[in-house]
Amino acid sequence: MALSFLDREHTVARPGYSRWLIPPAALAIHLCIGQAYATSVYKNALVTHFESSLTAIGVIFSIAIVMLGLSAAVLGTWVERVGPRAAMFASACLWASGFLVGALGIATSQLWLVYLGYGVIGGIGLGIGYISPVSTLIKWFPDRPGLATGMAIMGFGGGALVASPLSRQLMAFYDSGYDPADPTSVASGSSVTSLFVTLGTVYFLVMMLGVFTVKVPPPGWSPAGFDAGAVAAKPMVSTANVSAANAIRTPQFWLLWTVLFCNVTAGIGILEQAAPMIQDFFRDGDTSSVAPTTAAGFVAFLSLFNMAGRFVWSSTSDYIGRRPTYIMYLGVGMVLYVLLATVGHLSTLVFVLVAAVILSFYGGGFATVPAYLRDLFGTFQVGAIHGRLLTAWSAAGIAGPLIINGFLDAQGTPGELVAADYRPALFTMVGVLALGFVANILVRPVAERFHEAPSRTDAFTEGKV
Amino acid sequence: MPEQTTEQPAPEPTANQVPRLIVTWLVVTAPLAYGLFQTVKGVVPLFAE
Repeated sequence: MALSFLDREHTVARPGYSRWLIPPAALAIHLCIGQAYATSVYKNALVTHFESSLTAIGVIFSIAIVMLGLSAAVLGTWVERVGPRAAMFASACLWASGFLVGALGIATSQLWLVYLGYGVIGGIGLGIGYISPVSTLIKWFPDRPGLATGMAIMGFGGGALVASPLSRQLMAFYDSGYDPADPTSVASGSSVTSLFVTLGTVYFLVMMLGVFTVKVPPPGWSPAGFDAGAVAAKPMVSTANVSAANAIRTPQFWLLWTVLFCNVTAGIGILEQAAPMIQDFFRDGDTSSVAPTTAAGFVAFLSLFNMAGRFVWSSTSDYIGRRPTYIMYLGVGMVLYVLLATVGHLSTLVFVLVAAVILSFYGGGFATVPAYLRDLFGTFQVGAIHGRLLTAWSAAGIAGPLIINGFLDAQGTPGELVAADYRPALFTMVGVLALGFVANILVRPVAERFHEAPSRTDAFTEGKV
Repeated sequence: MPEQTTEQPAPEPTANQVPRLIVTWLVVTAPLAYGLFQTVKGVVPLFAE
């Protein structure tokens, strides 16, 4: 069959295959799907084109993120069964098709087609793509799983850094009347159509690089000098395997779900209002000492820390352990939120640095969780378990903005507030982090009754079940 | 029933992998470097005041 190269048995690496080819394969996928966080670039253009509201256009992104969580949760076991190459190929087809159907929707002024294309079809591609390289990376890097998954998930953060300026430049190329340097300039609908077609095509080609490069290690492979016994001897690291179906029956899964939910909710609290927040913190009467361009620079600074935190903290977790790493994210995070609320308004530098470290913990929380899952549930179906855990992300994506906007709406309008108006929301985030902190402290190794028999895990790996 | 033999696949030649490593890493790091450069340019106003 023409597509037989996608089969798991055709992706088993020959002896000597460099494992350093796997991180770029994973990055090729995550850099492309990370575009999902750059949708604000053409938001105003779509509002004007469809003569619609910001809310109606924002629904496109919301559908995509909901579909990401749902498809990762529902299709996780399928991804584990068919292997990374078939999953990456499916992700590339869906992600690119999403752009093309979305482009058709913009060209024909049918907003529902954009919902269906970018939101539903692209969103499923997002979910499959996000989890597709995770278990493969963990199997290739049993000695450094945090580093390996940190690299891939850093790519998701990096994808937005690439897509934002690239989209602006492409829209300017397709629409000579659009000036990307002028915040009031709005691109035409036809330029967004062309942008979607271009991104869909380019992303498909880059993702194919990942498809053709990724391979799974041969059964029993381990890197030179790797001592599995030394890793298993670390506290909270198990050599046993737990299936995805059993994992969700364990308290450990739900404790980790709570940890991820709380960490993401708290991070979104800052991300959601970053630009108006810094201006409000340094407001004197009607005027803020922070100009809009400086506020935009603050948002860019946060995105750098969000991305760097994914790699740095996740890699660090290989040395200090997963639970201590989350103690840092949540415990130090609480202290930083208190500092932000109480002394953040005294110095711009203090405000910026504290917020940046909080955002690095937000990114780090995403990147460290696959390795935490590997430690607790083994490598057997870690990708599928990760997919189910990502529902915490979707839930936090709703809870975080609801909490912060709920408190701020009661005080007035963001962009016209002062530092004190943010305190109730920030102290609530301290409470959210405290909940996650307790959940993390309660995590213990998974009970033996949930472990899989080695014969079943071997059969699954070989595609026999 | 024919006897089943376990064939050991030929090892991956190391020399062939070097260009592949360079190309794959370039494809992902070049756009990332572009994105980082553009973002750092955007950060400048934050520290220019």
